[in-house]
Amino acid sequence: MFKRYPKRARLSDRTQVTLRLMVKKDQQALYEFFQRVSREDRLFLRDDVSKPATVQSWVEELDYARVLPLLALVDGRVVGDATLHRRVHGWTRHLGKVRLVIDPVYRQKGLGSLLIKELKEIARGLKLERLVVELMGSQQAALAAFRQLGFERAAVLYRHVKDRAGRPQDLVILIHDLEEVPEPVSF
Amino acid sequence: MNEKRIEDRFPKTIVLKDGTKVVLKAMTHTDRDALHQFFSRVPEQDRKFLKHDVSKKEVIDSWLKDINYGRVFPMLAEVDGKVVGDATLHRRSSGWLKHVAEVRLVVDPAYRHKGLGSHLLEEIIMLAADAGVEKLVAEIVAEERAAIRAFQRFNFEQVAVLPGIVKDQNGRYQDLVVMVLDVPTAFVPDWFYF
Repeated sequence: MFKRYPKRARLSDRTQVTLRLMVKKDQQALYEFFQRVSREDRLFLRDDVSKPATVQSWVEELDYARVLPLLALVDGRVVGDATLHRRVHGWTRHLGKVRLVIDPVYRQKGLGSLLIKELKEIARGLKLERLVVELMGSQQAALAAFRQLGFERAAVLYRHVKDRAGRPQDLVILIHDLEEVPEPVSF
Repeated sequence: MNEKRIEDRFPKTIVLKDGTKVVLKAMTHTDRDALHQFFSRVPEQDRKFLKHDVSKKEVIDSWLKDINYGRVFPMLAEVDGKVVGDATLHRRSSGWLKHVAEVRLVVDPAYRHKGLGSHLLEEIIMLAADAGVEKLVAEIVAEERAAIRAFQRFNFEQVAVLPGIVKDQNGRYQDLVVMVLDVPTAFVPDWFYF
């Protein structure tokens, strides 16, 4: 099912991007990508990406069965990172958790929806039933973007997480049902 | 969880309401068979509400393979060498949930209604307070009313219900109740009394 990659696509401003799965040799490019994400945005990320060790551990533990990282590249530079996280065992084995980071320069060009659309396709192929996104309450732009992509707010955990500055933030859980694609009816 | 602290605290003997002596200890690699037997005594209607399919030996083996008390601290309750309870404290070393820990609890059916669950939960809350955890989370299937009440007695509050999010061992969709305890920072650890 990963034969579809690498895959080319165009953003709304005609920029050509390449989509493909992350491989071990992307470590440096991925680290540089996260350094281009603004400090304010980095505050809201789940992990501390300002440390090379964080990115290094992702690369070292690369296991597509658990985490599937999809990169968007322009001229060899990473401009977007969308990951699908799964569990092999247990009561959440039918769920996929999605995380998404876009280079500030490449926002508002449809790159986020392009990556999420791809992850939805991959998730369907893996027979997952629902996608879950967890965001902090103050990430208004990201919340609005995911709602436009068909994610619905399922719960808010009040002041549950802490951002990088140590401030308590609400945790918003958004869910998208991967509806069965109806088979085309033949006459 | 600091190894030295664990050595100081465990093993520890408690006495249940009916006089049964129970030993609380940290799980080690040697507990493999006892754990398999324990989970095989948990009835199927309870097992289907557990996060993992504990009837599979490979699930338990995977826990034992990467024992790391700093990430998951598994505490076992034993009576005459037989495991009768399992309470675990799950933590993250980094990220936005660093101050949050999760608690999971399973008690042998023959040892319920004797206060064992409460002992285990109390012990986990003290361990969490000791380790600087600020919030303790319990995720429970909504149908498990008794478990939800037990956590409520320890001041866990229901903060969210995720409708139909869980797929139990029988493939049925269940609501998940998320309960949170703000860990009392002034919780006096039991070793304070002398």
